[in-house]
Amino acid sequence: MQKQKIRIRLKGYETNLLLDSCNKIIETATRTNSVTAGPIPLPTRRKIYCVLRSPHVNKDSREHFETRIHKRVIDIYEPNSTTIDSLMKLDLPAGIDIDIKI
Amino acid sequence: MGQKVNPLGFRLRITSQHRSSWFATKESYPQLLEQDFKIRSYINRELEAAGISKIEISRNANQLEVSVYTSRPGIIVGRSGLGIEKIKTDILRLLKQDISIRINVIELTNPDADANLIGEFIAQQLEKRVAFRRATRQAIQKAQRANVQGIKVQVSGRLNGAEIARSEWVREGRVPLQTLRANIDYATKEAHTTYGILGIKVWVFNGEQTPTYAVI
Repeated sequence: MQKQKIRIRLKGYETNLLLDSCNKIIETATRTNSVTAGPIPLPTRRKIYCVLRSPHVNKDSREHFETRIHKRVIDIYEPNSTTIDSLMKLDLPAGIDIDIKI
Repeated sequence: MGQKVNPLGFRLRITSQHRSSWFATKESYPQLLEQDFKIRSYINRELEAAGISKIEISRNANQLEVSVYTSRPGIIVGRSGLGIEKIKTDILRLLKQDISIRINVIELTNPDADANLIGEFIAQQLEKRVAFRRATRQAIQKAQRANVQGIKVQVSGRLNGAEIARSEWVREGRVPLQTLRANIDYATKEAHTTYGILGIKVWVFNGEQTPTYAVI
């Protein structure tokens, strides 16, 4: 018995922006009477870049930078058309990548 | 005994924010980064006279938003918005892409307490062959009149055209670089003189603030 569901994947570099976006999405979904599951955190990807500090020679002195990609998943079950409408119109902060799959 | 980390990077998430806030996957990251670089160098080159402090770029699903913080918004906006239109067409031509651009021009409330503008001022004075001590003293006096809690200025290079380069710094008030919750504005500028390049670093301490959100 397959329930129709929308899976929303959010990716971002900052956790507070992600939290805001998740709350907004869940709020719009519950306001239009759909059941939601989430936000489910997925493991964070850390990309580490090691660069030389000096513009010339000095190989032993370096500096590490990293970017962290945080991921969240939100599932919305049995969406009605008002849910989908309000989700499309939702204005989310820049810096979050959203992937919606039906 | 080490060297100093960039105070802006040290305080990201606490008292300073990213200047480019967008998310990109591995494939598109280099192209977007190059676009950011082109936009910034274009704006800094074209609008030098308008006293630009910070350029913030954010992207949201094919829309580009550029916020320019300046002390003289009138020069940028031009007459009835012509300046902004010109910037938009030029940026579209630079990027060779058709995306919708939004440009916000924001006026700085306190231009004398901004490290970028103070650095620019000192650089211009040095390029006009003013003695560096007088230039730094003028800049510090301007900042003190604007009620900052501390300012430090460092100038390095062939000061006053001397053959031997040296580095001198002046500090007024307190500049706690180790305190994370201190709101420290930092800028690096270069002055191109006939004797070579003089490097200018400005730290401005604007006061302590508690973090805006819980740092996770």
